[in-house]
Amino acid sequence: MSEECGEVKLIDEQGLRTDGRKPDEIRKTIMKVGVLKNADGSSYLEQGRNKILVAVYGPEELHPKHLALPDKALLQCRYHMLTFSTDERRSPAPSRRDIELSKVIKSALEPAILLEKFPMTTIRVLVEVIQSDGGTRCAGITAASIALANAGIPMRDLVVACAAGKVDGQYIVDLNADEDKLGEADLVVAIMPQRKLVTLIQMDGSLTLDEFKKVFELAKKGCYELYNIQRKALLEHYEKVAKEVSQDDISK
Amino acid sequence: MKTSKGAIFLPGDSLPIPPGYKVIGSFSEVRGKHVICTTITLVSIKGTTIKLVPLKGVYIPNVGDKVIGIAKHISVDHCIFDINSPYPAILQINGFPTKSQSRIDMREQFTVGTVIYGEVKGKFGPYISLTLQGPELGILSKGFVLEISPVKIPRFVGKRGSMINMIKDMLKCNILVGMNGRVWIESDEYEIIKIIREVIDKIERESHVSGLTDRVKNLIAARLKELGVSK
Repeated sequence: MSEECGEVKLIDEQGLRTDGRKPDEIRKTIMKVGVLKNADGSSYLEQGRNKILVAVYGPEELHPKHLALPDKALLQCRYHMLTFSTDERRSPAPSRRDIELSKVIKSALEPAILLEKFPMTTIRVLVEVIQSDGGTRCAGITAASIALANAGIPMRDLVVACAAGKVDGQYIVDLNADEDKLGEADLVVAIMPQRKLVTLIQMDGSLTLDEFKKVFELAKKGCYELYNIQRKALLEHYEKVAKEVSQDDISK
Repeated sequence: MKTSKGAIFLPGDSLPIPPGYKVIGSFSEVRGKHVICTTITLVSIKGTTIKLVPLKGVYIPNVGDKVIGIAKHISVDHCIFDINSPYPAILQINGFPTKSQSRIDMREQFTVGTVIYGEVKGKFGPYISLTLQGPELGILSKGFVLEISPVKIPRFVGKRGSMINMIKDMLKCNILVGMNGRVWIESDEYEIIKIIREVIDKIERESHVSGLTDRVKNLIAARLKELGVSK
């Protein structure tokens, strides 16, 4: 936790983090679905200073054909950070990290989608990070899951992801960029909340078994809080229309 | 008879099935004594029937479905059509509605963009096989093709065709509905097409809100009034 310029304190004397949150508090999160007209499904997510836009296309015909799978659809995910998403300009070309995170997001979503319903086809998930502040893979998975539901793609359950970790000897949930970089360890967990299944688990740093259990429980708690926001966003999208229609009827 | 208003269920949500109740609808899984929704679904209970209506979904062809296809590749003996599905469709010479099939050159019958009203016959390799043999089926030479979400087609047609018949009667036009989410309209007036486009948008947006037929009727009446057509 020490840098050349001196000690960086990520948790102050009052037990608050750099952005004023308590250790077990997730960032303020806003989710919306159906934000893009041209995509089959879409979503927008703001988690703290993270801003993420997801578009879903498919199931559709797959080109080149030799990639097609005879028994299920091929899930293609692309995670991409826009050039202005970070402090310094990023190259628009996919980096090694982008390619890795695309694969990670695919692995997290795959168990939830009923791919076997659409053999020989493809489903494309495009995750664009507009502004990044740590935890974009989790935010990408969470946003992609509601975009898939919005596209009408059959799923076993929604998928929600959240990170937890150890910073200054304390266990914290939903790490921001500084905590991610300077913390002792972080654990990314993606779950299917209704089925109670884990679809992704990824760890950086080192934790004892006891610490791992505590951090895992904290990440799971964060996932369930985000799941409630996911549900609210999806239900609001459809119930909004019902409210508008009933208001039209009243005004007549 | 006990009737409940529709509630929206999300993927993964489960609903217990009481003894003696039956479940109607696609995009769901029955597990033991529970039905689990796999898409965003409108669930309503009428009597002893649990009805599941998906609010969004893709078109998966079934044998016997009537679809509107658009030609995209033509060869001597077959033609490939886009049927708004993940799977392209094929029309072979044996599906053509003429007895002298041996003398047919598909390239003379179709060009890229030709619209047909065909029936799904089955599967042919990676393709969905189509036929044009049957009443109403064939090439649609004039008219407009509009698109609607395939899961909203039953709502567009209505109970025993109530909605579509009302639209046809009020707007005096010919309409063919493809199960693949395409609607073909034959009318000489462009204004009528615009009204139907508006009706389709309303159905897409408000299909899960009750009283849709009345709202559509009011919309058409208002638009006709604006055009100066008395009804």
